[in-house]
Amino acid sequence: MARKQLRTQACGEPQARQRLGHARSLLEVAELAADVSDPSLEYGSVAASVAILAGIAAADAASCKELGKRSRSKNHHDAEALLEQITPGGKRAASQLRQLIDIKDTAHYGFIDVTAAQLKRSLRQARHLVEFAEEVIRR
Amino acid sequence: MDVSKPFAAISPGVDADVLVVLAGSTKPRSGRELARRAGRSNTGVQHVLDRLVKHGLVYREEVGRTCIYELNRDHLLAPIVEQMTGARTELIRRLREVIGAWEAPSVHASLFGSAARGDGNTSSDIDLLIVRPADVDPDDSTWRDQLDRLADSVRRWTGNNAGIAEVSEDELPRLRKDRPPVVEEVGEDAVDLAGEDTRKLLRRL
Repeated sequence: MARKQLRTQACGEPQARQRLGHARSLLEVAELAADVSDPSLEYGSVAASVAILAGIAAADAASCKELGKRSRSKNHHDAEALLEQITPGGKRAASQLRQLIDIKDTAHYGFIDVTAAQLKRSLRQARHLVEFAEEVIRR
Repeated sequence: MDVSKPFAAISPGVDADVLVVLAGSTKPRSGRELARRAGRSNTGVQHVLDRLVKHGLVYREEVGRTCIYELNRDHLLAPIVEQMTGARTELIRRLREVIGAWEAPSVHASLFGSAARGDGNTSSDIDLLIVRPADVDPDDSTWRDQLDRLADSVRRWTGNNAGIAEVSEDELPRLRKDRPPVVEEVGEDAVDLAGEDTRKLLRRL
């Protein structure tokens, strides 16, 4: 059961496939921006932000397919609570989404500059989320 | 939950605001003073006080032409009132307990942002600064499990999301040099939870 009342929107498999398409495209753009950013990392934070959008789109896709709803909250962390409900694999996916969002927020606060290592980590988490959504849609 | 007004989760009305003010001090106060401190109307507060006096949860004493009020801390319900008003303290205690027991300890952990200042609302994240030791890989499974469990606990305890600003110990020299505004904010408001205290950490920065 969701632990708090989440703002959600009903959706199903067609929306799941559409959001998965968005997720794949966003991941592609993030990877392209990451390539451009090397070695100056001028586009590093842009690439990381797009990776987060890819992760959120992937979370939407998995949630639409498996739960029939997706998060409509302005707080991206709320999408984690939905992901966690998907079994198997939802807990790990929620952790990956949380890490992605936290990297963005931590950079936004100014605690960190998005380094090559963090960018790589963001892209990896986003890729895992897209793969998770693909697997959920195949189920 | 609004960590700055935890009582509002259970009772969002005037009663809660009056009880928060009464529980926050042992000094008896007039109804007018309580209304001012609670940010509520004199009439509304007076109705609440009359009711609470009837239930014995609040003592009323006449001093000259005015009445002063005080929480009856021996009342059976008083510990519940005190516990609810002290929810932020309880959150900090639990965070210290959990982070302090980590198998892979952090260099530093603190609560910052609105939860530390006490001015958030129900949708505010509970912001935590966690400094990871330089020799711990960010993907280390023990480390990640700790953070996942922490985020989960915060959500279960408060209904709010945890915003975890995870910074490697290696980042500290850059923060010392650049001093982004967040460093000053943390220096002003942070509540230490584990490891090196914020002031020491900031001196190093």
